Amino acid sequence: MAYQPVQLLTLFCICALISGVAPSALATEPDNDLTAIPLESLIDLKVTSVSKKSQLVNDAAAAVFVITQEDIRRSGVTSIPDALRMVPGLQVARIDSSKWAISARGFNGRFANKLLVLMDGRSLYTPFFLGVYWEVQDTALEDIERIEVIRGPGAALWGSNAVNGVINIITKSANDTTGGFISSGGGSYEKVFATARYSSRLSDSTSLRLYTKHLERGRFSDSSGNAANDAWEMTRGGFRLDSHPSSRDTITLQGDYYRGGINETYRIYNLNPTPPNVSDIPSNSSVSGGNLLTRWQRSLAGSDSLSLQIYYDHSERDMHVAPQKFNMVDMDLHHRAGFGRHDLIWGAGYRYSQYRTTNTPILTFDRTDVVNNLFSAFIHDEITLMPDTLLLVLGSRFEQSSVAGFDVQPTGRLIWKPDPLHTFWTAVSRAVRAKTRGEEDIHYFYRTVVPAGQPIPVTIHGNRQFKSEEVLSCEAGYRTEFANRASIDIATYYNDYRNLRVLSVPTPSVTGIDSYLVNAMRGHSYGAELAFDWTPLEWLRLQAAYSYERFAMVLDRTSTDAINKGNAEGDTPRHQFSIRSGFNLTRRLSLDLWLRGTNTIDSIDGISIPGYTTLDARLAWNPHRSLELSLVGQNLLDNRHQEFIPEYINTLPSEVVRSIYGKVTWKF
Amino acid sequence: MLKTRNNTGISRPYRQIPFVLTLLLMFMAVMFSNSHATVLPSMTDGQIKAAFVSNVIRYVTWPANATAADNEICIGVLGRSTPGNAWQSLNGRAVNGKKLRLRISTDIQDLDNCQVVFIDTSERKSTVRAISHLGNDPVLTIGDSEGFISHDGGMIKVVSGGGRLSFSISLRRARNAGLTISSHLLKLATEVYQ
Repeated sequence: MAYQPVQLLTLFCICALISGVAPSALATEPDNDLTAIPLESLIDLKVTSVSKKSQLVNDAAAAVFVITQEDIRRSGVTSIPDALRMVPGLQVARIDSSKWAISARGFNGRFANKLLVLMDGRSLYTPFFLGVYWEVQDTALEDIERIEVIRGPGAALWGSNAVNGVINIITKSANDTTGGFISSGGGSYEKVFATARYSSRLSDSTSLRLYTKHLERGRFSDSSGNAANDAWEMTRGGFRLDSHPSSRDTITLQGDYYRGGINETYRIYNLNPTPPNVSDIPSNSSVSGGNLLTRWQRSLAGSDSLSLQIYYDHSERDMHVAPQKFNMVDMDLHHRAGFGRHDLIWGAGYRYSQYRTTNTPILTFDRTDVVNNLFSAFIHDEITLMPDTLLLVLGSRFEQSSVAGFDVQPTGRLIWKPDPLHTFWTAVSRAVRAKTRGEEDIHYFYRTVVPAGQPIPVTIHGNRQFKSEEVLSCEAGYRTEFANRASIDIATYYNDYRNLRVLSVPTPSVTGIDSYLVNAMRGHSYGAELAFDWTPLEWLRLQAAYSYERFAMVLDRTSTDAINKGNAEGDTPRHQFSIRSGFNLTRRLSLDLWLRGTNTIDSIDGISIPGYTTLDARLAWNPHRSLELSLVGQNLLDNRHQEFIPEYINTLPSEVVRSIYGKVTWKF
Repeated sequence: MLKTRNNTGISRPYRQIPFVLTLLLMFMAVMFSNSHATVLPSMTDGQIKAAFVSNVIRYVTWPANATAADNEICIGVLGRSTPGNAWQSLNGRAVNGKKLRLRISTDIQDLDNCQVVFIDTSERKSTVRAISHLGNDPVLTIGDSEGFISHDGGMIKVVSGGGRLSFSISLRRARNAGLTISSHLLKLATEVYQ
């Protein structure tokens, strides 16, 4: 019964295709006449993450949401992760002051491993711990042009781990930022923050931008209302150089460096004969990292183009249970060529990644110095079946990894625009969450239990037979625009997962519980996401988002792991909503209100977390065109609320507190 | 409950049938259909601005005495001329039955008699001087510097980047110069200053 949606979708594809096979008129070859491009298509919002080229959101055959610079500024958020709360279909929760759990379409956690995140084409996914360390991902928020969020598999273009979504954070070209600004402020939780940026035109064709940013964040609250040990600070700086050495070449060189300190408390278990068998260790973890990226793009005849990107990324983290260092070099080449009714993009890449850990009494790995060589190639063809009306996308990525082996991740997408205001799309894709060396090698003293007066350890072990996790996903969506600047975007999905990771205890023993990582769970999820955007009056804008998700998992005979099954089914709220309203009160004064909430999280490691509704508000005043003063209140509706708890790595969670801050931005 | 689900699960090979079938159908559809692509070209920033300026002409009406007699519209670009830049491609094109004539110069006096003047950010230091030189002449001024409307006194400010463009309009200044701007253009603007 559960497979009916797959069949329905297939049927939908067939019907749509039959209508597409009908003979259609021949369109003329596009030439370089700039005067022939409709004004509307210059102004519409464009995305690049769906097909590695610039296209209109309305033309994308995927569930896309774009966070613009204006959305970021007017929401009053101080971090990239908190900006993501406005996106339907994303789950964003804070574990403590410095840790976020972020996922798309479920399977959330601090190490949510099914969401791929990129910044300017550079992967932020840490293959070591399978996820994104969100606390170190930042830049001058004012220099972010947009954040593209795609729910659903993006693996056919972007590669493994884009199982449930892709987030692409895109900063402005240095050519588009002129002059400088200084913004600074502070408040009850945002203790102090300051950003300085200067951008200058070195020549007619070359611009350079420099920035530096420092922030100190305060403590959240523990469950009894006392301040938690989770204050942190981070300092970073970076540059971006953009140059057009000729009319058809663009060269970008950019880099960042950051360093910070994070207070956190580790819950460490021991086997002392007398209780307590647990102690809480306050710790200050230092984190640092840097990257350097260069990209060269050349436009060829027509809309054809060639692009080469190379980057180096280093990060390290002096974490109490697992000190780690990580290096990555990535090369990516892609070529776009249009011929006949085809718009073809193909590419190839190579990634060298290496990590080194230091074993501790809590966490050890058989191999502490691991190298992975990843070779990849992709092909993506957009085929016009009927000009401006029906488009078919076929694509696949092929990867050979020294850890995870060979994988094919294909997608088929269809987009139908009966008229310019209505868009229907559907997609079928397969994606893989690549396994890591750690999943073969880990030995983790996770907990102590005292079943019969004698404390015994619960240990999680890796498994050399561990396989990558898989999804087969079917999606369909609809977008429309109304005359008076309103739009609605609806996306639905049905995901079929296989080989999901759970624990198995093959031989119960009285001296210790040894559990092994196994691929012993499968299941499905389905859901719907809605985004609504309306500007009813010149001075008023309303943006709303709603998501609904359901999960059902099945363990096979080798596992009885109700905890991880419970996590997969229960760590995502069934309902989430966000309503933002922006008022331009006068030419110089604006007010923004953001109401959002979720319902209960049923189960994370057996614990249920109540839902919450909260409100952010921002009042901004521009006394002069180069000066902005703003006052922001966050999480205003309660003193504190819990959003999540950590899984796997045992740190103490804390509760989000009500806070207020003021900010001054001066442009010059 | 769990056990039942486990046992009724469809076996692996069968589960992929819908997927394979869909892909197969899609391939067949490609084989049998016969049409040509109309792809949206990926454009540089300069191309987007040039495309915008040439498009805006459609939505602006000049007073009768302002347009050149010989059915031409002159677009002046205050900036440096680089070979092969996007503006050059506008020269000689026709918009609304009028031929576009392009002039690029760093001196505003060279652009007298143009109906549209685009002032590049690179010339932002001379923007105020250029606009006061034009005075209330029926010339549509477009620019991309930060304070083009609020500080410099221009009419249309464009902001572009990453293949995207937005613009604001000062309706009062356009009216003062005797230009009429269509409501369609005003509707697309991010901000309209009265």
